[in-house]
Amino acid sequence: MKKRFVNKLFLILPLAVIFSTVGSVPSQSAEADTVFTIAAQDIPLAFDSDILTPGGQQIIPQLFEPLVEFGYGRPNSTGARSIDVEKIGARLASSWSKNAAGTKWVFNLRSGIKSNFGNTFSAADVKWSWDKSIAQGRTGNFLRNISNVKELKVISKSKIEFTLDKPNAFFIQVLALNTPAIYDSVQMKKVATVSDPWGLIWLKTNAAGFGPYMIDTYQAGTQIVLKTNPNYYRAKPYFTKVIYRSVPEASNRAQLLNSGDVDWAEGLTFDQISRVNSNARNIVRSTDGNLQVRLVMNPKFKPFDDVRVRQAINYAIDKAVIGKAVFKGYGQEMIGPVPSGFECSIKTTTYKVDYTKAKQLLAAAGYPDGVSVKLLYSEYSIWDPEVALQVQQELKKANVTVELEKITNASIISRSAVTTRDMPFFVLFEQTQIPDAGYSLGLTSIPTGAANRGGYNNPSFTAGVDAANNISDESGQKLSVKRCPMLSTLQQTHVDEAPWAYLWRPGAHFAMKKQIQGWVWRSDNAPRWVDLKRVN
Amino acid sequence: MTFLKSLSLLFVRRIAFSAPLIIGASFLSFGILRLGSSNPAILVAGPQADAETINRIGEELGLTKPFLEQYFMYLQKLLSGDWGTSWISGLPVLTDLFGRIPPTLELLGFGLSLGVLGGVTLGFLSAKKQGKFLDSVTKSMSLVGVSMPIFWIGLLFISVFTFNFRFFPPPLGRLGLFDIAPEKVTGLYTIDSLIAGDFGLFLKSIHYLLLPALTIAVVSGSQILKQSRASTLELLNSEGVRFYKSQGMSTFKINKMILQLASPTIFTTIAMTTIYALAGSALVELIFSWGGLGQWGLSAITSLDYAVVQAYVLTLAIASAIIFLILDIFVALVDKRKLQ
Repeated sequence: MKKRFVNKLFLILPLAVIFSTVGSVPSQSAEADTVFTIAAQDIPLAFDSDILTPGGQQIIPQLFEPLVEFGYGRPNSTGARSIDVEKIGARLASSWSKNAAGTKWVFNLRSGIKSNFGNTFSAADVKWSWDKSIAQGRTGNFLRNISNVKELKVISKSKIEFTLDKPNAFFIQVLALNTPAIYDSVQMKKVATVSDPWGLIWLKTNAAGFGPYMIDTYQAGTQIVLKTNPNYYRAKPYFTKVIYRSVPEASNRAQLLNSGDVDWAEGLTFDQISRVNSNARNIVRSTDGNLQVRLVMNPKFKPFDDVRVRQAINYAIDKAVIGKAVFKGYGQEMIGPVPSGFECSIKTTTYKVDYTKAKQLLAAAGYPDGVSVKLLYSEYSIWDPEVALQVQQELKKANVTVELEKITNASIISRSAVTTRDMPFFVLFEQTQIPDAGYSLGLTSIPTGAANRGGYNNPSFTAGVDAANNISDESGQKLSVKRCPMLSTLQQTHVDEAPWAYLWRPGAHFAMKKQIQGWVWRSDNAPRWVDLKRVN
Repeated sequence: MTFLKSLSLLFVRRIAFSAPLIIGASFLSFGILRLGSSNPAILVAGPQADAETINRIGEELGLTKPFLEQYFMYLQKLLSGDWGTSWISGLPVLTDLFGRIPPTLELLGFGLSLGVLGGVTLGFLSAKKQGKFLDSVTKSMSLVGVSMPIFWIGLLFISVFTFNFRFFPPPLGRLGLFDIAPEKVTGLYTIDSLIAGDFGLFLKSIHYLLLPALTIAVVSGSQILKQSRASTLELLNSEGVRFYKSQGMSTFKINKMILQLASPTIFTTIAMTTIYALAGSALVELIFSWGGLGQWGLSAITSLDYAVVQAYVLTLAIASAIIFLILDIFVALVDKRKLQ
C-alpha cells in the first residue's frame, strides 16, 4: 500500500510541477513602460559598421553617432516622417566650412562629449575610425572612394579636415551615415593587438561609441539588450532599455506583436503586414523608402549581351501583376534606375507591358522561337522566391522559358561581388543609403559600384556619372540645377540599355504598437530607438 | 570469457565501427560545401573587396590548395582540437558549439523523455486493449504524429495553445523577455535555476520548455508508440506467452516479461527516433526561437559558414555514434547472447 503511494507520488509530483506552470503566462514587469521590446529577425554577430552581419544594420546606428545628420521632412498621410536629405544638421560636428572648390572641408567638433567608456571625443577618434575603414577595404572604403576623400588631417582636438581629390556632390551626406562609424579610439587602441590592430575581435561582442545606447548583455544568436549610454550628450532616450530578441519565424513575430508581447516586429511578409495593421492596437507606418526589386541581366552572358533581349524582358513583364501577387498592392512600380522621389530621378514610360513587342525584339535578336534562360534567386529577401515564380509565369507569355534555380543567400552575395559577377540573370533588391540620384547610379551602375552586381559597363555612362558626382556648388547655385539634366540623361541611357528589368518598389513598412510614437524613416531602413517614445 | 570482458570488446568494436561513420560524415560535409559555386574568401573579405585581398584570404583559408590536401589539413586540425573559425562570428567554432549544446540537450532530453514515456506506455496499453476505444485513439494519435511535419505541429501548437488559449508563453526562446538567465553551471536552465535556488525561475524555464518539448514528444512518441504496440502485440500472440498464461502466471509477471522481451526492438526504435529528433529539432528550435545547436546549424547552412556547417554535421555524426553505442550496450545487457 505504502509502496503504491510512493509510486504514485513519483508520477504525480513531476506532473504537478509541469501543470502548475501551464496557463500562468508571465506578465510584464513594472519597468516595462520604458523598456522597448523587439521581435527581431537576426542578432548581429559583430558591432563593426564595416562588416554588417544580419541584424547589424539595426543595432549599429544605436551605438554610434555620426558627424552630421539628415533633417526631417513633413509627415505623410500615414503619419510617418522621412529624412530630408537637403537639410543637414549638426551631431558630433557642431559646424563646418569648405573651400570654394569644395575639396577641403573643415569640421569643428563638439567638446565635452564622452563615450560609453568615459573617454572624451576628439578629432583623433574621427581619424582613427576612417583609417580603420580604409584599412578594411569594405563598405567604409567604398564610401570614401565614391565621395572622393583623399585624406583626413587632425588640425586640433576639436577640428578635423577632410581633403577630397575632386569635389563631390554628396560628401556631406556620406558623413550622415554610420559607416565609417565613429569609435572611441582610446578604448579601441586598448583592445587592439599586433595581430588585430583595429580591435575587430573585440568588436565581435563589444562596442565603444558616442551613441545613445550601449550594449548591456549579448547572447550570440539569441538576444541583445541595450541600455542608455549614461554619457550621451543629447536628450536622454525615453526607452532606458531595449530588448532585441531573435524570433526567426516571421509568423511568430507577427503574432507576438498582435498579442502585445512585443512593441515592434521586424521583417514581416506583406500578408502579415496587412493582418498586423488590422489589429486596433497596432500600426504599420509606411513610406516610399528606397528599396528597388529588379531582375539583373549581366551583359557579359548570352542572350543578355544583346540589348534587344534585355528590352524584351522588360516589355514581357506586367509589373502590376507582380505588385498584386507578391507585394499585395503595397508599393509602386519601379520606373527607372533611381528610386522615384530622389531629387533628379526621372519617370520613364518606356516599358509598358507589350508581349508582341517583346516577341518582335527577341526575333530581331535572333530568337524567333523564343529563348530559354535560367533565373537565379535566393531567400535574401522574403519576396525573392515569389518574385522569381511570377517572373517565370510572365515571361512565358513572350516565349521566354525560365528555369528557376534557388541558391543560398551567401552564394548570391559572393557571386555578385565586385570581383566575380558571374550570374547571368538573377533577382536581388537594392537599397541606396544616400538618397541621391548620382550616388545611386555610382553605386549600382558603374564598374566600381559596390552594388553593380550585374557588371553593367558603359564607359560613356560611367564618365557621365563621374561628371555628375564630382561637382560642387561653387557658384552658389543650387547643385541640382546643374546636376539634374546630366542625371536625367544618364537615367534614360540606363533605361534604354536595360541592364535590369525594373520591377517594383515595395516601400518601407514598419509594424509597431500604436503607442510607439516618433518613428522617422531613414535611408538605412533602421529606426533610431532614441527617436521613439511610448504614449499611453 | 567474462561478461565484463565481452562488454569491453563490444565497446571497442563499436567505437572502431563508429570511426568510418564519423570520417565519412566529415568528408561528405567538407566535399558538398566545396561543390558550391560561391567563394568563401569573398564572404570573409566582403563583396567590395579587391582581388588581391580575396586571394590573400583564400590562401589563409587554404582554399587555393587541392581538395584532398585541404581535407587532410582539416582532419589534422580537427584531431588537434581546432574545429575552425566561423567566418561570420569570427569566433572559434568550438566556443560557439559548446554554448549551443546545452539548450538543445535540455530540449531534446525533456522532449524525448516525454515521447519515450508516453510512446512506450500508450503502445503497451494499446496492444493490451487491442480493438478497444483506447487502441483506436492511440492508433489515430500515432498516425497523426507520424504523418505531420514537425514544424507544422510546432506552428499549430503555438497558434492554438499560445496565442489562442494563452496556456503557454510566447515562442521567445528559453525564457521571457524580462527574465534573467540563471548563472551558468551546466547551461541547462532547469538545472542551473535549481542550483541557484530559484524555484520560480525553474518553473518558468519548465514553462518555456514545455511546448517545444511536447512538439518533439508528439513526433518521436508516435514512432515509439507504433513500434511498442506492434512488438507487444506480437509477443501477446506468441505461443510462449499463451503457454505461460495457461499455466496461470500472474498478469504482472507476464507484462514484465513482455516488456523485457520487446525492449531490444523498442530501444532500437528509441535510438533511431533520437537521431531523427536530433536533426528534426533544428526546425523546432527555429520555430520556438530556441537558439540551440540546430538553429545554429541551419543559419550556418544559409550563410555558407563552412566551419560551422562542418562542425554541426560532425557533432550530429558523433552524437549518432554515441547513441548507437549506448543502444548496443543496452541491448547486450538485456540480451546477453549479443555479446557472443
